[in-house]
Amino acid sequence: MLAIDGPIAVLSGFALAEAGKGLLKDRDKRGTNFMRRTVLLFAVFFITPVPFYFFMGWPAWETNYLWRWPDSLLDSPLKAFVAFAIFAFTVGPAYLGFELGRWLITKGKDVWVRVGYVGMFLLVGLVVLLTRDITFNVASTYAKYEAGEFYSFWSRPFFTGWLFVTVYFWGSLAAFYLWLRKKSASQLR
Amino acid sequence: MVQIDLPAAFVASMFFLDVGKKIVKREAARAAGKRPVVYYKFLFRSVLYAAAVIAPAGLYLLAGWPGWEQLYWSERVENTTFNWVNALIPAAFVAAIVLAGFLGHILAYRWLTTGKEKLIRPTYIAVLVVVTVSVLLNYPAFLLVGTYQEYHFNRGAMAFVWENPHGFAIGWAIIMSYFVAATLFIFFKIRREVKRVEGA
Repeated sequence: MLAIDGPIAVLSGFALAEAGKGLLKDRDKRGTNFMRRTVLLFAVFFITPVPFYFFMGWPAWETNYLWRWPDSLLDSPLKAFVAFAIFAFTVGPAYLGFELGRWLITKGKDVWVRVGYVGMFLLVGLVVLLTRDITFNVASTYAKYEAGEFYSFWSRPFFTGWLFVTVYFWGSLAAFYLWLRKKSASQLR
Repeated sequence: MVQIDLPAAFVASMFFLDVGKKIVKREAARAAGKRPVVYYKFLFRSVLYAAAVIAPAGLYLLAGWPGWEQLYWSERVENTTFNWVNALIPAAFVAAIVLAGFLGHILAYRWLTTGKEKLIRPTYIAVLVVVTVSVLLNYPAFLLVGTYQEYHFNRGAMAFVWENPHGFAIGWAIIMSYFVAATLFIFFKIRREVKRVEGA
């Protein structure tokens, strides 16, 4: 869902900054450089493919039935630019979240980074709650949405794919978070 | 083309390190076994290039003209809606491009810092030759625009790329301009950095 992709990307940036705070506090620039490259790699490898997956498979649901044009990106030099938009919409907020987190950490306001990602998590939950009718009732295209052809979020094949990419993203975020915490702790010792 | 984009990310990472090898070798020698700042600088550049130039350019063509973009090898990318396996293909394509860029950097950096730098240029030239041959072997797929079904069963319904069918030529020209401009920008930026170091 486009409505939560941005906040989730910011959340990732905050979480990774918090996990690597030992590296960011290091006076040697190497730690900050390492973190910047890690966040960029994480964003392009684990965040960008997820919204693109939903855009290709369930375009109307991904944009929560705001527009008809995502139904087909075929044969249009203009509409195909969605590829660039998704990149900007995922990597941009993740990097922004990380830089904001880094700035707070270097100012000694570590707790605000945690507040930041918990806040983003709550925002995502709120968006899902407020849009539950169009989140848990899926129509793959705008035409099907207009015709009222919905099916449940929990039905196949939608849920199978959703589960796959969700585990891919959240599993990777958890793995990176733990890895960076460990690396950060060894840096502080 | 998918067949070009993946190796292109790998080749670009190697090429950037090849162009900037004087800086990299000097900084690596100073770092005494640790990874120098320049390692991360080039890694950032290579990953950003793969992710912001090659991946969106490839996805742009894959989204707009999926048949042509993969030389009509598979019909799956034309049928991604409501199919969770097929919809994973473009997503995997993004991840694979970034991974190729990352691997190209890792390999070239290792060769540069272990006295095997002579392998870098022949490797990326060999990859380019293999890619060119593999594309040419698919003649006339890269000259025709249409669908998988048309290419394999009704080529008369297809049009040549220069006839701008379905806005293809416009889209391709935009993407290639972006690709060339971004590549030249990075190339000259590295060259400038090398000259600055040489002059110091």
